Amino acid sequence: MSAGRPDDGFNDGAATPGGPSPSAPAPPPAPDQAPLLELEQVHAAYGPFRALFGVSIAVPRKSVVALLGPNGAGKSTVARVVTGLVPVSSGRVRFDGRDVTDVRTYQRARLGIAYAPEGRSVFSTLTVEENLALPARSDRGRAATAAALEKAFQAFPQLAARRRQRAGTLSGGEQRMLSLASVLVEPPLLLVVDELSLGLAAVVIDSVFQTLAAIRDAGTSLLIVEQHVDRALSLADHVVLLSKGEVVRQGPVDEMRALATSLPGM
Amino acid sequence: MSQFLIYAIPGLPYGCVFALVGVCLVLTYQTSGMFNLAFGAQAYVSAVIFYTTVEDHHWPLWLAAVFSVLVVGPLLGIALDRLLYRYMRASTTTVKLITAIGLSIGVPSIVDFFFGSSEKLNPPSIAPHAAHTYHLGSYYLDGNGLFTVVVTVVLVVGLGLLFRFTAVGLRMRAVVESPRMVQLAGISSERVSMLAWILSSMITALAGLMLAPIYHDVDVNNFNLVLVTSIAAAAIGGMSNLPLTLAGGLLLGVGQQVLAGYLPLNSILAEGLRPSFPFIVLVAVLLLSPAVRRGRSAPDPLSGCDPPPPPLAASLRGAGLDRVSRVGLPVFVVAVMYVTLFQLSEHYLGLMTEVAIYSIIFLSFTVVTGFSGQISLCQMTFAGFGAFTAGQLATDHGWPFLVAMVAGGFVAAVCGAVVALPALRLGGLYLALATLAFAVMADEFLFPLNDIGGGEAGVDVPRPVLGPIDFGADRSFFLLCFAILVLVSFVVILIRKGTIGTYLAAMRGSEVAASSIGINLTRAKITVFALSAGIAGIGGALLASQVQHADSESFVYQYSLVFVVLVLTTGARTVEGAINASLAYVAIPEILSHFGTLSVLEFALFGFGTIAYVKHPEGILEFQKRSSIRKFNQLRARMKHRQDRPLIHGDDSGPGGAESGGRAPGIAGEVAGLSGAGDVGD
Ligand SMILES: Nc1ncnc2c1ncn2[C@@H]1O[C@H](COP(=O)(O)OP(=O)(O)OP(=O)(O)O)[C@@H](O)[C@H]1O
Ligand SMILES: [Mg+2]
Repeated sequence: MSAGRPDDGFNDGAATPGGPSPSAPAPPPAPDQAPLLELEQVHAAYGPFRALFGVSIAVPRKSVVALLGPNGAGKSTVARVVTGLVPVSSGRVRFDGRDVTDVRTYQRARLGIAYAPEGRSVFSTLTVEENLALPARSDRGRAATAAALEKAFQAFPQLAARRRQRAGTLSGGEQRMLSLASVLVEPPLLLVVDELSLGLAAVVIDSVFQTLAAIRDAGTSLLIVEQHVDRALSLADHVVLLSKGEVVRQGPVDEMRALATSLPGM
Repeated sequence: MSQFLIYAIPGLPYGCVFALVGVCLVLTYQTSGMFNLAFGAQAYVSAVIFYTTVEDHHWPLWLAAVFSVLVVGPLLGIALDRLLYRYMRASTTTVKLITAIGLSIGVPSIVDFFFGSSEKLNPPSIAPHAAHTYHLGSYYLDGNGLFTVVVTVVLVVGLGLLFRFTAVGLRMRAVVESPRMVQLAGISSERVSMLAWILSSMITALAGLMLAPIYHDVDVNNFNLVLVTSIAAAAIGGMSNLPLTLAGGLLLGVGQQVLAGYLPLNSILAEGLRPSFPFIVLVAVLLLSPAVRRGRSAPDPLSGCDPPPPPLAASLRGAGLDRVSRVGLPVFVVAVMYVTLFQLSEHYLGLMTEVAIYSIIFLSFTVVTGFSGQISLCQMTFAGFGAFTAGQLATDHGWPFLVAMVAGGFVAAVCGAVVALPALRLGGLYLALATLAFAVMADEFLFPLNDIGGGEAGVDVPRPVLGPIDFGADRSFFLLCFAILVLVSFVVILIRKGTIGTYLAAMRGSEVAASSIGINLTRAKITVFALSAGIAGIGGALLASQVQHADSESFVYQYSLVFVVLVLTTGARTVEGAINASLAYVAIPEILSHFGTLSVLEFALFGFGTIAYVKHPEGILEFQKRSSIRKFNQLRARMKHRQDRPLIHGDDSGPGGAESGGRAPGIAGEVAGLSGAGDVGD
């Protein structure tokens, strides 16, 4: 995957937050050239508290986009908007050629959007195995589920030893591994990972990044939020800089490297 | 041992039903967050339909049973889930509880409207050989009992297998923890919850069919009593553990029978034990069970997606409007007084007196629910304690009534403090359930006692006499009640503006923050609970004094349920809200009584008022007032060409949300729906 083709849906200039409404969207390009995921002038809020102000982001097919920004910039909110957990107050979300703005979270998941939220996002009362079995599609039968489980245990051998243990009793890092493992059970079209490396040991982070590179090569696009800018940049093709709910800059990783590392608060 | 079994075995069917209902409660509570206090109503629907189809339409038993258990039950569950519960996932505990109570009041009233409210005695049993007695050595069980035991065993084992080993069961367990994470796995959490509702509605319907023959009557009250015991079973299971709930149910059913068997026949203890058992067990669980004291163990990891609960709003009313109401209110009051005293007939004078008295009782809800966000389901029981104390003291001991009334209020307050003590720290749901169990215990055991409620004959309660003034005449009694109402209103306002009110306001914002600055939450809550019980006690004494009589039927728990729904739907935070609720309570039956059969629907009207409550948890009245204030302010702003609209969006984002600016949000989610207005000035 070459970084930074000029024609893959990124505009290099700063976004125009709060500017004129997204009046004339460009005519939809041919399906396989169109980005896999596209946010267009997305505004989002938590009740009365506004978090995103006209964010436009695109994730091209088979590429990795890193979402960077200081604390409270709205990175997690972008991830939640993509998965439908937080509704947009205006703007559109397009995925794989269709408008998913009003599509429910579980339907988006079926369309191929997987999401590993930040923190210990596991079902703490279920066992490790049950946590992994839940997302496995029931229509594929037990054998396929078992195979998917084995794959997950291969990626995270530490979990294999604890397959019948309740997830709530795992250590913080193990829980983090489990939530990553459960999104990888079924390779999605788009994988959104929030705070990828938080709470993981350096060795584990390395292997996670290897796994991510592997599934990227297998055809999955990634949208990752990562505090370790260097690591993020090593995997990413594109970088989006977010601050105070607005896109400050976005572009191919080469152009963004200097800027991203010098940004205050990161 | 054999003696024990002779007592224990007849308790088994009861225990099984308690267990089954307890399991249903846990199932729906866990998968949808609704504690189904409408169980009795749901069971009633199926039992009545079964009864009617068999007795009136001569359907074969099996067909009627299949129809009412497999068709009516699930349909009702689906309807409730789709039309109501689905939209309440994010609502507060209070809203959910009140909605369920509203249904438990409204649904039976609708059923009676369609199927007639005549007694439905000796319902047929669905058990094969129901009347046959099965002997096992010297122990025996009748066919219906045996059937109940077998069905329970089959169902519970089936449910256990479903939960443990199937994909659906796995999803149900997962939804418990986080519906959103289930969605992320590509599964419709709503469908899972609906499935749980269907399942539990079927079991509920079946329980209704099995229970009716045990009581020889299809009566919603029996179902509600079973519900109360099952609540205790669910509490033993910590509201989450199915095997423990099962064990709890069996223990309660068998325990009641065994204890009643060993105690001397017809003694007070034997009589009182059965109805008191749920309350005693519930209190014991609240005090002792570590699982319950810990509360819900696993919080939703994705709760960060929710906006914070609405912050406390400052006074919403402009000074202009305040001035208008300061002049307007006295004028209005004087006008009402004049008309009531000099224009109305005896009948309407009596009704107006009732309005004043019920307003006093309803103000007790304002204090406990409106100010401190707790739900009490036994305010009428406190009113009863007030009335009986006042009556006994005045009639038997010759105390002046007004003094006796105050003493009644005091006794009620003490009762309130005692009841609230074990449950207060746990808050919301547990307090509501404990008060409900207490109300049932009082109705069934305490109030019928000679020393409290005067037994069969009841207690005579005189009209007050104050020195030379005799309030025996209706007009003067009305004046007295009105004066007391004014007095109590001032007390209520003082509570809100005083130290306790400030504490409570802080507490509603954030319990953690409030306790961190040294506010003793438990003491504040208990004080408020006791005050509220005291106000209810005074109201109860007046209520009894109006008709000069009170007996154990005068203060049954059903009143408390209706009242809590009524007051919360009209607006629990203001004196005005309580008075309006009281007006509605007195006026609506009066109006309906002119329409013959429609009067059955009175409770349906009150009950389904809760649907409005779901949308406007601050109360209909409060909502109307606020939206008119908002419009008024907008109009004024437009006239002044000022652009001082707050820089946050959200036009109607819940109580106090939009108006409050970007103030720091509180942490406490529990009472979010109630945490809006520190309420308009008066
Ligand atoms: N549940 C919520 N309710 C209200 N406001 C919220 C909520 N969650 C986030 N916000 C606000 O939205 C803004 C963006 O938050 P977000 O979590 O998206 O930031 P972030 O970029 O992920 O920060 P971090 O790097 O610390 O994770 C912040 O100002 C935050 O205060
Ligand atoms: Mg974040």
